[in-house]
Amino acid sequence: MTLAADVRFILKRNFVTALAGVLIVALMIIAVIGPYVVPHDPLSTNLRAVLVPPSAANWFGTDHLGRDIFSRVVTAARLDFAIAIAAVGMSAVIGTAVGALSGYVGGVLDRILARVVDVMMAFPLFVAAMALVAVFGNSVQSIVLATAIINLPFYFRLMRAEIAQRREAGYVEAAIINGNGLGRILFRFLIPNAMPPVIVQISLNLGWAILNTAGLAFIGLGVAPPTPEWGIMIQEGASVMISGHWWVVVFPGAALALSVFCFSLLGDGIRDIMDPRRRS
Amino acid sequence: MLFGVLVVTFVLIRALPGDPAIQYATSPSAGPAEIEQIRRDLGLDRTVIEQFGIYLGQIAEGDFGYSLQTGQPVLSDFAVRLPATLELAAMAFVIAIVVSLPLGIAAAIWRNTWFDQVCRVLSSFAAAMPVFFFGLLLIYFFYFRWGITSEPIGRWPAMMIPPIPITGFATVDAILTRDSSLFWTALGKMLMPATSMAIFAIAPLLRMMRGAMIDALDSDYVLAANAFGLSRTKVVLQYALPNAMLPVLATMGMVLSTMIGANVMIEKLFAWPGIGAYAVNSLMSLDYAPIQAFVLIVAVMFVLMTLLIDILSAAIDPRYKLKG
Repeated sequence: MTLAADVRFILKRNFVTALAGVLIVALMIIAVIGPYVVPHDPLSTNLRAVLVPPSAANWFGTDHLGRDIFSRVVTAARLDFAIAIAAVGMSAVIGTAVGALSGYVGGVLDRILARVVDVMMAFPLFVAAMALVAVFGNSVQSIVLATAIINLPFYFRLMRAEIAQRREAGYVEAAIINGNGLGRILFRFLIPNAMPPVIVQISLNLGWAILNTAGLAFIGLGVAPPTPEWGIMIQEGASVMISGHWWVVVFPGAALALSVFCFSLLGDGIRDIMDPRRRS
Repeated sequence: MLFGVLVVTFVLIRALPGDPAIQYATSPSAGPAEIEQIRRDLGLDRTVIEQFGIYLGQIAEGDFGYSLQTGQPVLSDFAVRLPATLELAAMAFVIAIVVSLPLGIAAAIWRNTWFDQVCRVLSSFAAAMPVFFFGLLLIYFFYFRWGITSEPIGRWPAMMIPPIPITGFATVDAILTRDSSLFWTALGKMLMPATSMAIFAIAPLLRMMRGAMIDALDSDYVLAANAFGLSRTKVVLQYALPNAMLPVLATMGMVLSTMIGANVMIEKLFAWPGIGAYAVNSLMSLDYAPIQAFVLIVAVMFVLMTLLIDILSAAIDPRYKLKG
């Protein structure tokens, strides 16, 4: 079977996954080109048009400073996605490499690293993120770093278990006999074989990282106003939600929920495709 | 494990910005000599190991320093707020369990029917729903639109003088004083924040329960029990359910972790006078002593709860080995 036929076969049986994938690509495109094509400046205020309900001029209405919510929601996509991708990328690369090394080498190094990771996992994720942001200072870089650190243990544990299983495999022995070094055995032979669960984890993690970023912004950490960001927009809209101005909160909230929803669907879908035994 | 947590919080204190000696030197005339004196008083000129020992001693005495914001010892600030948080969290947890477990069992029994599909869609939505967004939606409909609930701020209605706390748990206090109207007021105030908090826990619990129940129902011992002609209820509740609980318990740790995070956001949103909102406010005003205490207390609670889950798992399944 050719690759194209393979892909078609898989997609036909995984319509929802394909749809989620398409939506994510669409969201990514919006994140990249959105800021250039939005109808209004996301930062410009207009005190004569405050809290206007959705209309032809302002598709999603305006907020308490008269800023166009549609433009802000679209512009925010870039920042939220960028933070999530940077953070998850960092933790996936470092966590996978260290986990693989720990699982392959074993011994004292493995025991120490596993212990360190156990301690990291003793802190609830969101609280750990709060503490780390407090240490690194209240900025976007801190959010990226904090999110990356709290996600490290998942990749470490996953990779460590996968590698420890495969350490004794025939092809590894063959590679050793052929005189391959440690780095080459790990990166050329072992890690590629152990990648599928990591890819699932990355997809699930991206959605979670977006949620985490917005949550931190909601309680006032990381991204600072007036920067358009979904969590901040929801936080700013919270005070007017009580008086019935639903559009200030609902549109950024929906954008946030949709992104998270798509990533988790995609993650579940990829897992089903790669590992038929664990289909839910 | 707890020792590791203490080491991390100690490192956290060292890593937080700001020189403690300068912070303590409140008088503007404090010169380098005075600051040096304070540094010596605080033990900051000792070695790191000695300082860690001092830190352990302080924790053992319950000395977490003073909050710059409230001017109170951090420990007494926490003592006042902790019951509010625990009460809310307990209610959220009960809601999550009561909703997700029966639905998960039902979805497993009637698998691949419309009911199963509805559960699946609902849990997917619940998993993607940011807790603070869901809380705001609840506020919009139940408070603004339909006017069913009272004002979504704080633990007591605005016009009410809070009763003198006995245990600090509003509902328990109400029961102790046999005041039923107070009990319903307190419970009513908790309902909306607790539901918002529960939403995030429902999805993973429901999925896990369904998956574990399906595995249990497909197993040989259930087949045997059916063959013996035992009633369906008996087979499901007595044979399948205990075995299906084990994987559900295993996810409980993760669920607790996300719920503690959700708790912080929900307390902030509903102006709930608990430790989460307190920690956020301290963080905003760069008041670090309460944050250190918050991180330590939450981590210790989390470790203890994980241990409890471990013990429960061992009680259910003799094959299960305690992680220790």
